[in-house]
Amino acid sequence: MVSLLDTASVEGLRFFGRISASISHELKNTLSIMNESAGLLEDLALLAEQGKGLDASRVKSLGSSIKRQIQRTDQIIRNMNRFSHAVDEPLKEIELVDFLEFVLAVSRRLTAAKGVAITVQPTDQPLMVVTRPFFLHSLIWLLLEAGMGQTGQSKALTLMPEKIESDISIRLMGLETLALEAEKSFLPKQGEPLLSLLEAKIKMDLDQKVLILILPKRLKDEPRGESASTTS
Amino acid sequence: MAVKVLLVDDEKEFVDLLGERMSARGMEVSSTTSAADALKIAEEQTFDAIVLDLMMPEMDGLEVLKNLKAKRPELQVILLTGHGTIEKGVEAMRLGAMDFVEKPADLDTLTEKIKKAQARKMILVERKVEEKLRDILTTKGW
Repeated sequence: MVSLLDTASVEGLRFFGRISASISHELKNTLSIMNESAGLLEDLALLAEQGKGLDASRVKSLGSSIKRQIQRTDQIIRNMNRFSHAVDEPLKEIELVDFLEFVLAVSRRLTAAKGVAITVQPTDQPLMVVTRPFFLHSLIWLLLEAGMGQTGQSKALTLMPEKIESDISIRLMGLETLALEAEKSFLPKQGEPLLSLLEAKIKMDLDQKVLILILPKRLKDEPRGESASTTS
Repeated sequence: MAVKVLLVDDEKEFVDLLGERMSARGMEVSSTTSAADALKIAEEQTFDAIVLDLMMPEMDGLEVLKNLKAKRPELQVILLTGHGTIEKGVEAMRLGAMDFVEKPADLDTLTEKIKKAQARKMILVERKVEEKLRDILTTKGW
């Protein structure tokens, strides 16, 4: 007997590993640029020692490059820190636009690898949701991953959060090749426990080529699946 | 003759800086940030070595490697990897990469590997010429 939370956690762990690997790759990239900038500074110093003169503007531009990469690295580490702490509080109130922008920020390298541009449509008012941020992040990533294969020529997706009656919805727009058969298979099987744990539902609007994720505005403390264990 | 190198990495600042340092060391460097462009350039020009990033947008580095080797088996490809995993490197070698270097790369180590690539390519080209000559000598009845 495996609980819903356990099943979702396995998927969550896989997702955590994927994002961590992507972040480490980004860090390696910024380090590489700083490494080459420092190396070039050394090369210039060596030439100057040999009496070849020192180009002050080149030194200045290399200094700026290093500073830029330090700022970039700092942002990556901030995101990594926020991502790591997402598991600290199982239930938390989040602002949805800010959350979705963060989801895109930590997975930028993975979405860029697919050549798909993803944006978040801002809202007039803050959209507050009490949910399980880490599992919501995992679920949204699974939907984005599936959605990136459905953009057709446009290679663009938009996430649009909005309030609908007592719930909150996130519309995933730009699914140009969305077809009838996708209704059951769009979300991979490993996403189902996440959906249950978040008490979320998925709807599709095939005419508009949109997937709609519906979330409760305020998720209760006790996950439904905790009391009713599932078998695997 | 200067070593001809093609640098392929989606980080423009990285290829610019590395290219500048390699040029200062007497290498003839071309660079691109696009995997698709790299395939085109490698088809139009000859290089002693291609230094290729493993994780590129639009096309995975291993995919680029497969394409390059299919078009020009004599090409010597050195992969740059951001991952500390041996598995990817082993996979790259299996697909025909000459070697791999982990980022951030040490330029002296990379230069050494590029020189090795140049020597290996020369042997392969010489062998090809020899085979062609042998073929001509055995098939033509002079």
